[in-house]
Amino acid sequence: MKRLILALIIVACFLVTGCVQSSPNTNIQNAPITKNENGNITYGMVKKHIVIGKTSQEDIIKLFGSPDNMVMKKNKEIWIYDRFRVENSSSSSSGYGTLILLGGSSNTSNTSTHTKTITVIIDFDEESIVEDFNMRVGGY
Amino acid sequence: MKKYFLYGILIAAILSLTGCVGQIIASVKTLETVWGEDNLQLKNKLGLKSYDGMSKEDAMNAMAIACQRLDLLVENADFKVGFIVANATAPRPLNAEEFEVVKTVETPRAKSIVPIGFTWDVLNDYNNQFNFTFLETGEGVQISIRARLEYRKNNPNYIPVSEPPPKALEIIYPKIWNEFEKIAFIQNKTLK
Repeated sequence: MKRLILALIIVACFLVTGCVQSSPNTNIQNAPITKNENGNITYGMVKKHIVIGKTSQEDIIKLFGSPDNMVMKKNKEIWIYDRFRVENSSSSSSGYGTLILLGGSSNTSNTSTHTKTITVIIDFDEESIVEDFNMRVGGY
Repeated sequence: MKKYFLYGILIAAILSLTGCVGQIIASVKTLETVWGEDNLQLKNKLGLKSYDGMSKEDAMNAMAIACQRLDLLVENADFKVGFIVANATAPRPLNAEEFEVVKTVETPRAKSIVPIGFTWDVLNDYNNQFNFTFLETGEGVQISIRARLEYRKNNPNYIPVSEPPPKALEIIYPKIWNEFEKIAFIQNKTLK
């Protein structure tokens, strides 16, 4: 009886992990464009995947997620993506030597933060297909 | 004899205290001068930009929105003359991470100039004030930014500074330009 319960638990575990694993694979196979899970947008992604007159709103959502802003103009939609990424870097160096003999030490550290921003404006036609797109990459 | 001795100690203590206070005032002034010199260079390098093909009105509209997005409160503006005054409680428009960078970079130098009493803890008592001026040029608009610190409290025991830490401006100027250019880009593509 104990063995039967153990076997059932193992089978159940296999079934559950099997379910969890198979689900995203099926989605990927059906989708023409791989979903970008974290919503990151890069210049290269936009250039590679957006094709004027071909890419649909559905494709754009799969790629970048929901837009950050939407504008309706003469029955045409404009979607705006406004994203940023922060990169921190730090390096430090310590200088000892003659100074330490005098009871001191010198420490220098260079810390910096760099924020990269990307703004993509996508114009759709009445059939929700990309009509035009513009992009701006900035940072500070 | 004892009385004279006590008077002597009292006078010595007063002299030493006033000397100390005088030294602190002088060191704060030195810090202000050092930061001011760096800030002047930064202003010339990063605080001025020209945009061809952009009207003064469009530039001012975009800058007003950029200020809002950076948590800067527009206090005064004149679209005819071409200026915007905006401020925020320091360290804004810096975020926490950016301010940590400023502290890491500026603290060693500040403490070497003001060894007694220098602290970042009073920073929230300051406003970061920004003056934006917009000049029409033949081709477009020229925008300049000037930043200063404004001490809000009335504490007679505190010696305030008016120059922001240079590292802060080194981050803030590009941050403002980036936001402004982004807003101008969006407005140009969506409003026309």
